[in-house]
Amino acid sequence: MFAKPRLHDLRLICSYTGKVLIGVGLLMALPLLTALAFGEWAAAVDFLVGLGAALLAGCLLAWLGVGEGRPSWIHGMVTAAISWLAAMAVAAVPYWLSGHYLSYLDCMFDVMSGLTTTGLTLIQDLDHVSISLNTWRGLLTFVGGQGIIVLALAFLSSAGGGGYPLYVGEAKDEKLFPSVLHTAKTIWKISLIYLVVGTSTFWVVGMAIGLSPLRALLHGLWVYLAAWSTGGFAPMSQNILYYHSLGYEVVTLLFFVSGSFNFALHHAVWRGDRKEMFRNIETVSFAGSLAALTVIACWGLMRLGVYPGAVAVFRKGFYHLISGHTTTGFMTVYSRQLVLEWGEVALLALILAMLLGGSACSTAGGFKALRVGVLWKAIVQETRRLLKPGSAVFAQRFHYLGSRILGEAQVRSAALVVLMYLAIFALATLVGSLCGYPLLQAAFEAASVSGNVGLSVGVTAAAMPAVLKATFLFNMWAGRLEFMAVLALFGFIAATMRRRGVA
Amino acid sequence: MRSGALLLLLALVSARLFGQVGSAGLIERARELDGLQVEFVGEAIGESMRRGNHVWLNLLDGGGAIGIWVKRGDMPIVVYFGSAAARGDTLRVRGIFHRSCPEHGGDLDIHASALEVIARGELKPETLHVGRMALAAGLLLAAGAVFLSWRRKLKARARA
Amino acid sequence: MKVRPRSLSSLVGGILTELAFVALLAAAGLLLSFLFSLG
Repeated sequence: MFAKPRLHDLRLICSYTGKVLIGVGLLMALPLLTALAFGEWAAAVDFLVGLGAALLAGCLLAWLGVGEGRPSWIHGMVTAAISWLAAMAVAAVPYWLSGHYLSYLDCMFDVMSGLTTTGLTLIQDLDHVSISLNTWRGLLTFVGGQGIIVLALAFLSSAGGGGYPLYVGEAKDEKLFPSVLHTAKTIWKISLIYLVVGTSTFWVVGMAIGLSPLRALLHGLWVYLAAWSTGGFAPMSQNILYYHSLGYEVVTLLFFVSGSFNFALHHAVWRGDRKEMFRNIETVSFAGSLAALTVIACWGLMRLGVYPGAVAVFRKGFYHLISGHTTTGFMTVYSRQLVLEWGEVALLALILAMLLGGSACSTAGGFKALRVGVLWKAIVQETRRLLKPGSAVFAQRFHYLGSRILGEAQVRSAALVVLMYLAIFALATLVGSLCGYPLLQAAFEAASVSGNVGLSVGVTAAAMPAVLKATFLFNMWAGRLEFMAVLALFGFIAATMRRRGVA
Repeated sequence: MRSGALLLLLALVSARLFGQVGSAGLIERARELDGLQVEFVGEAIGESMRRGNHVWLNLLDGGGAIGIWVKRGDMPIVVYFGSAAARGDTLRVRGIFHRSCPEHGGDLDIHASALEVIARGELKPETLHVGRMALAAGLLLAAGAVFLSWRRKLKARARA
Repeated sequence: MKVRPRSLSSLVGGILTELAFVALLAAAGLLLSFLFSLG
């Protein structure tokens, strides 16, 4: 593999992790300003403490890490993995000080849930949470979706080259441009434009459904941040059910589905290639699996007579299916209702939708439509090979920003990642079962964490055993980083513990 | 504050005696209670949302919040809505419970026939911890000091 | 390579195309909901 890690390697990792923590600290200035603006003095102090802690930890690590060298692939991967954990530990400080959590583990769970755009929460008394804390929740989700490393690269780093390994470590391996800085800035530009469009839309619709102008704006911002990031946090405990509005639900749908698209697709379509929207393997794959799973879920719901009429089936059945498939996690029913009313067929469809997930290089989770499409094409290719024996050679094509040929390496990579997702899904299901939860519920929640979804049947609760919380936390983290960075970290640690390097 | 809590306690006790159901009960027994007259007590949270001649109000009772659909005419004056700054008024609603309301796209809700405020809420005073402010100051100063050392170390390196 | 889209109209057109695609998915969902609520 590689030589036993030296001090030089640790220094590089330290340095970059420190910079990420400084970024997290600076980010806390936003909820701090919000707290001051709304006279939430106690919350302001909490954020000052958090800011101080993050900056202190960040500067310390950066100081320790002063040294020469450019990061290589391994450094990038390991830093991505470690900095997410470090950011989680530090960003949890304001949560803990707010008094809305029963343990620091719960706080870290919520931070990881936000950063990974999952959306499961262990918060207590959400309906009485401060404006600044809700802003922090939304911000963590938004920034996590963009990739905190992408944030650090785009705005903090002065170093030009060497950023690519960090970028890929965060599982965004679409090179929009040769320069990773350029790519990072473009991703941010796309998101900020959508931020303005989205928040304005929610604001207007919010006022139309009876919210005051101020609350319509605040809710609009928070719900938009959660929708675009396919996160799933909402400012009220009833989630989107609070609004009791088809209009509001439709707006959330518009933005969370857009948020689940590949950034490269956004870029292509915005530059004028409209046809890409309908030819891209991911949008086609997503539409196909969505249709198939909707049919199955609706059939299951209809058989049990769960919802009265088409509108209800759409607002409850289809809504949760697309919310799950895009890995958003917005809900318009109570968690327990999924268990009590939906029935096994519909729940299985939902589990599958959550596992398949949204598009690659987006805020969505799950296997990702690109892999699903690639594997589907690979099966088609295998079938064709079987039907045409002999030396007939042909290329299997697929459309992804242009016509491409399906390659062996691509299929292998897709299959391995899907396998790893299934592995962590199985792990979480097993731990859930061992903790005493019924199998279907354990599997549902496991799919939700592994795919960074956020739909819940009620397993996720403060009373959950700590070992299950830790397992879910691990799954959210590993799933979001798509394993490469996590495996690199484990390999790095293993190599550090060996006496000599591995030949 | 004491009288509000006492009244809420009384309300919850009477719930057991007079057929009130909690939010958890409404959800767990939704099929059983579907279409029946129920009584529910909870804190008004967020705001009331006007929709033409009716109003949506969400009431929270510790376990969960339930949506109440009430005619504008029947809507009492709610002074406080639950938020970070205030504990909301406690209201009691009597009305028909729906597991999946056909009129409201399948929402779980109660169509109120009677809605009244039984306890007034209040503003929650903010308590500032001097210890925390000192901690914040300390951390920021320490961070500043380490930051300066870091800069110095970088300059030394650049010169070397 | 220029970061900005070719023009404002291309940007607006792009966003509208995306939202139209989503609306299409939603419409399909509504249609399926309708079909299944009949049975």
